[in-house]
Amino acid sequence: MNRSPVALLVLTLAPALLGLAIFRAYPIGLALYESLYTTIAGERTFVGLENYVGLLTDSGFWKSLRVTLWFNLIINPLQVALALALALMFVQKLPGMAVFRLLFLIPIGISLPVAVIIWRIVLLPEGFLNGALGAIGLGPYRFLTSPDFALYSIIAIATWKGISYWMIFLVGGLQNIPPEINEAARLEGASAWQRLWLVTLPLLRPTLLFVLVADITINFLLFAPVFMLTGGGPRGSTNVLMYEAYKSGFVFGDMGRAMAIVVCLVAMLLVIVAIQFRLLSSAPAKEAR
Amino acid sequence: MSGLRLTGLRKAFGPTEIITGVDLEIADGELVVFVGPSGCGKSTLLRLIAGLESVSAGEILIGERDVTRVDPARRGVAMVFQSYALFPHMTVRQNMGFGMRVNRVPKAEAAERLEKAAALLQLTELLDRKPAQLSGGQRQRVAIGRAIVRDPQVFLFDEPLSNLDAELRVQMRAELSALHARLGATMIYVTHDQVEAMTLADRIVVLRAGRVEQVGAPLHLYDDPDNLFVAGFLGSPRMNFLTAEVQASGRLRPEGTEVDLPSPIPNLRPGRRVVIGCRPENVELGDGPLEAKVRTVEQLGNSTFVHMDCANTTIAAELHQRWGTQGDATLRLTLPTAKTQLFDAETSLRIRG
Repeated sequence: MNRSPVALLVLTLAPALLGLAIFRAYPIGLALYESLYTTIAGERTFVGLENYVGLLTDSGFWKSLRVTLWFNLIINPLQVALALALALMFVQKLPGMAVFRLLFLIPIGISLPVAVIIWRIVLLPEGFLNGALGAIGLGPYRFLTSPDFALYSIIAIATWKGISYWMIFLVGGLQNIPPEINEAARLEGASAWQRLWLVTLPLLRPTLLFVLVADITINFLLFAPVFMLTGGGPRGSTNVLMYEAYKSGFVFGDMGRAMAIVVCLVAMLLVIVAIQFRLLSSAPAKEAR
Repeated sequence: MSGLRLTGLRKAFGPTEIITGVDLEIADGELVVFVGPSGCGKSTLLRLIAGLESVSAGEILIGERDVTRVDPARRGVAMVFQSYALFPHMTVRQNMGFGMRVNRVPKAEAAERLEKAAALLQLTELLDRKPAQLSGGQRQRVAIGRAIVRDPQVFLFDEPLSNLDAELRVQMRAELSALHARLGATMIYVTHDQVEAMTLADRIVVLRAGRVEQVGAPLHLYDDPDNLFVAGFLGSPRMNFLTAEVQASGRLRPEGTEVDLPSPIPNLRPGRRVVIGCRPENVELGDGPLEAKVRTVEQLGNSTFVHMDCANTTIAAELHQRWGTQGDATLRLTLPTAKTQLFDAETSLRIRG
C-alpha cells in the first residue's frame, strides 16, 4: 500500500475537490466557453469576444447593470445593518427575548418560494398591506406593478427573508467576545454607543466581513423573487443582470449573450469581494501603527 | 483614596440568593482579600461593589458616598479581571488610555498619567504592542496599569493571578504587594487560593454560601478561627479534626478509640459531642496515646507530610525533617493539648474557655 502523505491528501480531499470541480469550476468554464459562441438558426458558431463587445453597446445590458448596482447598493448595507441591530438585541438578557428570538428565526424556516407567494398575497393591490394602509387613509399602492415601488418591494422581501440568517452569524460573533471586555469598557466609563463603536464592532470585524461578502454574493446573484414576482418589470425596474441573463438564454435563446452577462457578473463580484477583503482586513493593521 | 462600607448587602438571581446579607467595613488604604471555595459568592460580591451587578438589598458606601445605585463608571472603582479583559484590537497605550479617551481627559494630562503608570509597572517599552504580543504576566501588568491611570478610590481584583503559572504567580504576588505599599490604595482582592490570601492581605474575609464566616488579620484567622469552616479552609494540609465525646471525667474520647485525651477547656458538659482541631505542624509523632497507621508520606525536601489513619479519620502531620517510614507502618502520636482547639460538633462553632 502506498503510504505517501501526498496520496493520502489527494484521497481525503478528492470528494471535496470533485464536488468543487463539477459544481463550481465546470459551470464557470462552460460559461466562459459558451460566451465565445453564438447560435444562429440553430447552428453554434464561434464568435470570439463578439458577445462581450455587443454588451458594451447594448442599452438593455447597461440598464440592467444600473438596476443591479442600485439594488445592491441599497440591500446590502440595509441587510447587514438590520442583521447587526437584531443580533445586538438577540444577545441581550431581557425579558421576552425568547419570543423575539423565535419570531426572528421563522423566516429562515420558510422556503423562499413559499415566502414569495405569501408576500405576493400581502402586497397585492387588494392585499393585506393595502387593506391596513387603507384603514388609515393611505393607498392603495401598486407595490409590485409600479416602477416606483417594485424594486423596493423585492428589497423588502429579500431583506425579510435574509436578515435572520445573517443575524445568526453575527450573534455567533458577538457571543465570541468575552463579556468581561464589555464590562471593562463599561467600568472605564464608555457609553453604550462608545462600547459598540470602540469595542464591539472592531472585535466583530471578521464576522462582519464574512457576512458582508456572503450577502453581496447572494444579492448579486438574486433571481427567484424577481422571477416569481415581477419578471423583471414593470418597465425593467427590477430587471437585475441575473434575470436579464435568464431571459437572454432561456426566453430569447441567445445563450452566448446570457453566458457573457454571467461572466461579467462573476467578474464584477470578484472585484467587489477583493476590495472588501482589502478594506476590512487591513483596517486593524493600520490601527496598530 | 477612601474606605468602603457594605451594609446588609444581598443579591439574588431569581429565587436563588447568592449573597445573603454581608456587613463589612474596609479602612482607607487597606488590602482586603475575599477568600472562599468556588460558588461562595466572593466574585459576585466584588461585582456588586463594582456595579456590574445590581444590589437586591443593602447599601454600598465608598468614602462617605452612597454608590449603591450609581453607574459603575462613576463609583471611583477600577477592576482587574481574571481574564485581564484587555481590548485585543488596541495597543497597550490605547488599552491603558481607553478610560481617559472616552472621558475626554485632555491629551497632555492623559499622556502624563499614562507614562507615569507605564514607568511604575515597567511597561514603557511595551506601549506600542498589542495584547497578543505580550506574555501572561505582562498582560496582567497592563490590566493593572489600566486601573492605575484611572486613579480610583478602590481597586478591585478578581482572581487576577489564576491564569498565570506557579512561578509567575509568586512573582506577581510580590509585585502586587509592593504596588499596594507604594500606592497606599484601598484594594479588594478575590481569590480561592489561601496562600495568596495569607500573603497579600491586611485582613481576610472568609466567605461561605454568600455569608461572611470571619474577618481578621491572616494570622489571627489561622490561629484563632471562629468555626470549623474557617479552621479547615486556611492552612495546607488543612487542620486535623477528630470528633470526640466529653466523658464524665471531663476528658475527651475520640470516636473509634478507647483513649481519653485531656481537654483544653475544663468543665464541659459530659456527653457533649465536640470536634478536636489540631494543625498538622502541631501533631507530634513517636509517642503518645493515639495509635495511627501510616497511609502516605510526602517528602517535600524541607518538610515531610505524613498522612495517617487514626480514630476513624485521617490525620496529617507536618515534620521539619526527613522521615524514613513508608506506608503501613503503625506508630503513636500526640495532639498537644495546648495547641488544640475545640469546636461544637452540632453548630460547628468554636468552643472558647
